[in-house]
Amino acid sequence: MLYTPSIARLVEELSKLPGIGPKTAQRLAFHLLKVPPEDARSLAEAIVEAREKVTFCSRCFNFAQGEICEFCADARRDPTLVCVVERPQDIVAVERTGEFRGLYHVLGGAISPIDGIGPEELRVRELLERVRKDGVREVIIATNPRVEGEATAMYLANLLKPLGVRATRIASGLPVGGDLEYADEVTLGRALKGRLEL
Amino acid sequence: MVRRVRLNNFRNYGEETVAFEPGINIIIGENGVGKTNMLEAVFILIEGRSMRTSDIREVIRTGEERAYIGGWFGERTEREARAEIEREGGLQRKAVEGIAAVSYTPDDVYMVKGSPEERRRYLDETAGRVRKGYREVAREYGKVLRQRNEAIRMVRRGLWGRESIRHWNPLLLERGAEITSERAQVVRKAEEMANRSGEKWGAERIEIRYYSNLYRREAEGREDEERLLKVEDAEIRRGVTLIGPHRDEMLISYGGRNARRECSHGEQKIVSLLLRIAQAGIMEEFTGEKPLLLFDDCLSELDRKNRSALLELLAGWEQAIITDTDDIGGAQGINRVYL
Repeated sequence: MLYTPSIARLVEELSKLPGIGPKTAQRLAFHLLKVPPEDARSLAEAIVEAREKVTFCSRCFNFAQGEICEFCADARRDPTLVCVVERPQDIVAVERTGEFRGLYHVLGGAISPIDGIGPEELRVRELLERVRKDGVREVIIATNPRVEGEATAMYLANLLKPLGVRATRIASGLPVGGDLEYADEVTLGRALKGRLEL
Repeated sequence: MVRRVRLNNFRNYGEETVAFEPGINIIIGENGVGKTNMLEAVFILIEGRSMRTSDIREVIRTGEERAYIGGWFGERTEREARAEIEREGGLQRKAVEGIAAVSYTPDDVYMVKGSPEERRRYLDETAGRVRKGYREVAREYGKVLRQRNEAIRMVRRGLWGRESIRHWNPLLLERGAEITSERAQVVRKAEEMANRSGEKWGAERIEIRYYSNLYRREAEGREDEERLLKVEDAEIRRGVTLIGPHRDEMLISYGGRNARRECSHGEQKIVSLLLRIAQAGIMEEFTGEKPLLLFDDCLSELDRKNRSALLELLAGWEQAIITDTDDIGGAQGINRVYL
């Protein structure tokens, strides 16, 4: 046996984490054995606490501590404006822009038949319910600009329009600071198709 | 222009250095001495991939750990390019900018006599080499197609409703329209360029027709969406998407005859060579640089008249490296490389 049983268990657990191979797991394990015991304990407690206390927001399905998340609980945010994202991480990205003061809705992924994910596997029904009940004016669909995200966006738009709510899609196009001259034709072509009235 | 190439543990080579000249270079040698391997090495050096295999490690000589290709480019000042292929790490390359290569292999005759897929691959490859965004669009279209086909199979197994096929339709048509319009442009250019070279060759007239199974290139009309709904039953029965550029065809005629069905093998070879030369011409028009032509076994199966016509055409190019089993003799101003 390479390690004593406790170390072996720690290495095995660490190597289950994304992006961590056996070598990194070993390095982390040995590091944790070297740090002061209270540091190791603090990490272990943080993991346990996060798992026990963090749940899903019952309204938008973002991570939350308690019944609803910090955004849904914030009275200064506009509840009639909802931004739909695939995962909770995407909320962080949208928040960083400082451009959005509405609420969110986390779908839990995008439609992908190859992965067995259809609309039933996503929080679509919950979104429609919210739109009907909460007087939502506009739903901004901010799924990823990959084909799965696009298909999901079109699917949602078709369901939302009959409800009389405005459904919009985040724009995709030229990178900020780029030159038209150097833009590839496809990006430029799509930017032209998605042009805005001034 | 490539002046010199050094190989180490590449395919059948131990250590070998070969010098090339402007104009036509003919690599002459018996079967199995490594003529094609030499072209492959130059192609990898310039393009960063092999035209023969998708597993680059195949080029490492048996029993060795790494293969090396070095190349010296330019007319006066020499610029060095190198590529190293390792069993563990794959390909590492330092390229020379502004140089491209077009390869012809004997299998290219299947662009003419083979299935529509081979012709679509020619169009996609050409579009991908001159349009930066094309490869990404083609990749996206492939993804849409796989997702939609999977949805069709889910419906067929009774697991999902038909709606799950339909929400892929707009994307299928949008990306499909982008592909169709790029391919149609390549077809027009390829026809023009192939005939420009064909006239010098003394070949008959080539006509290329692209048959798109999308009605609208702009995907603004509703016809294609309605057609998709109409074929839905058939799609569920057969388990695949039936409308889109993945089923398009390109018909080539040579001297007014269907090149696939009514032309001889030799004529088909002429057409396939002209298509490759056209590809190089399209790349030149786009980048301003003449690609290096790497034509493997391009003279065989051609009669004496066509052989000299091809050589004359290639002589007008900046540089071409071709292979042959025997010294054709006669022609002047050709650099012969004996292996």
